[in-house]
Amino acid sequence: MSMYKKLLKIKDLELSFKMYEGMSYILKKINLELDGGEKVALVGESGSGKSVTTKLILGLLNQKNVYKNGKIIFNNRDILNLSQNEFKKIRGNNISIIFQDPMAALNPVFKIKTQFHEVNLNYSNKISKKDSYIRSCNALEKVSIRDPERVMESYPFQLSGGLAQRVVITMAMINKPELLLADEPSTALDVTVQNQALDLMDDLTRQTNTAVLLITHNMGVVRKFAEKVYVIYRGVIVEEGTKKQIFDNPGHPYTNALLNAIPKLSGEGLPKHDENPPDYGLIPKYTHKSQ
Amino acid sequence: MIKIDNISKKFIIKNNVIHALQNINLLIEEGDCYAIVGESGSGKTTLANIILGIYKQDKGKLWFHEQEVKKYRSIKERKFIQFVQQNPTSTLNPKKTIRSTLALPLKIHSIVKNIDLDNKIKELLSYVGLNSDFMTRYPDTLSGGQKQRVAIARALASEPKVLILDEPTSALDVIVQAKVLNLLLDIKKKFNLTYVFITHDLSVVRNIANKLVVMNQGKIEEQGETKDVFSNPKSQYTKELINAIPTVLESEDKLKPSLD
Repeated sequence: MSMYKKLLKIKDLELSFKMYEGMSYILKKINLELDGGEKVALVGESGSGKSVTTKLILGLLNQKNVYKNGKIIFNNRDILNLSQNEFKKIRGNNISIIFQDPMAALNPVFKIKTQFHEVNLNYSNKISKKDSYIRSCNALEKVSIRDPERVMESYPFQLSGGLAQRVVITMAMINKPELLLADEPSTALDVTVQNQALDLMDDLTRQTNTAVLLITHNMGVVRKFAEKVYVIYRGVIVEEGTKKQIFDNPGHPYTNALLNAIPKLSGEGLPKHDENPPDYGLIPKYTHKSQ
Repeated sequence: MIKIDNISKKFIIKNNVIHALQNINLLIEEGDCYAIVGESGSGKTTLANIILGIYKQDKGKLWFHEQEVKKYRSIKERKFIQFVQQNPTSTLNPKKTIRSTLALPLKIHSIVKNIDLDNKIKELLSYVGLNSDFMTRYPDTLSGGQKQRVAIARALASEPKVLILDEPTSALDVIVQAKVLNLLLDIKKKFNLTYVFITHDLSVVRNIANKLVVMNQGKIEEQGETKDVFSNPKSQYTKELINAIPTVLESEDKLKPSLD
């Protein structure tokens, strides 16, 4: 892995929200590393702090009652406390994101071409509407959308869920970012379309050597896509390792719980769950030996 | 228990005719957990809505308990069959407490006298593993799994014989999904219910349903016992669906059919 350079390094990242009832601690000293072109998954249940991590990387949490600490080093620069103007240069160009629900990610009152134009302006702020149209059509053609013109002239609600997710993925990848954050990119889609969306993401990121941070709760998706895995539970990383290590030899009971929760194809019945699971956060982190 | 006899349904949108269902025949027997599987747009939910009486079929007949269902259903026929929807957030009225949400079906079907209302609601909540503190709470203070439990309790309120479950767990994460599915199985045994389980998640179907029908573009692609369909899928579409399941074990990969 030493051939890669470190692209993203999250060091001792802490996040807390000040709420009416008092402080709510969301992330507790998270450490995470990503090399260029690497595919890393961050796995955990709802409320474990997966999505806020991506929001911090993109600089989307700037409200008054948000307290953050630590370092997010992207390309040798600490971006945790950058100004919004600085972030505007990074978003869409260096780091882009795919959200869970493609219908919610696209603006329903603008045609797809208008939304593509906005992304293209990030690439070059002098690009004409015509050039932007051609650039976007080419990108759509590459992801095997047969009639890019029709898609460009459509509103988001005129597209099916799978097609809309293709458009969103294309939009995220059109400026060839160095890092793609994928926040549950396939959960809102059904199984066959989910597979296609994952394949498409894999294909596009391979072409441009883009690193991916995949956020998900489904270990099946992790197995299909990721090379390295971090398991997060209530704001604490409880296990990290390569895909092989995590799936062949899970070390932390919470990782086991996540793996067991998926109904198996062999049909041995539904997974049994603990009525009173232990507090996984108290069990120390399990780190696999590096290979 | 439910017999679907040659039902068709089409929608007309801007002069385009969409055949949502074409000549569907199904026989759901008492005690079955009958899974309806297919991708988005295959007609699963339309079929559920016809069984529920939300839509009327264009052609064909629907039978409950050897009796044909007429155009207008009596309150008894409506009591017989209940519904749990996909998205727990949008099925619960945000302006009503859990108590009044659960009280409504009890009043409509006059299940209990008004004096016993609160006790019955507590009982319903206990079936789904929630305590009586939840009665005064509003849906937005509940987690996704808790909301889905309330939706299941509401469906149980009218003492139905059949529950239609429209993707009851696809909005939940895997650990909560496992809990809700186990709960559904317990309830099925306890009240001797029949389930019609609509989903695109075949790994869930494999473990919960005894029969299944695979739908594709409004037509039945394949139907039969779950075991048989999984071990020996006949149509290409079913094979693709089974192959698309994201699995976590190597031994599962070997169970997937080969695509020609």
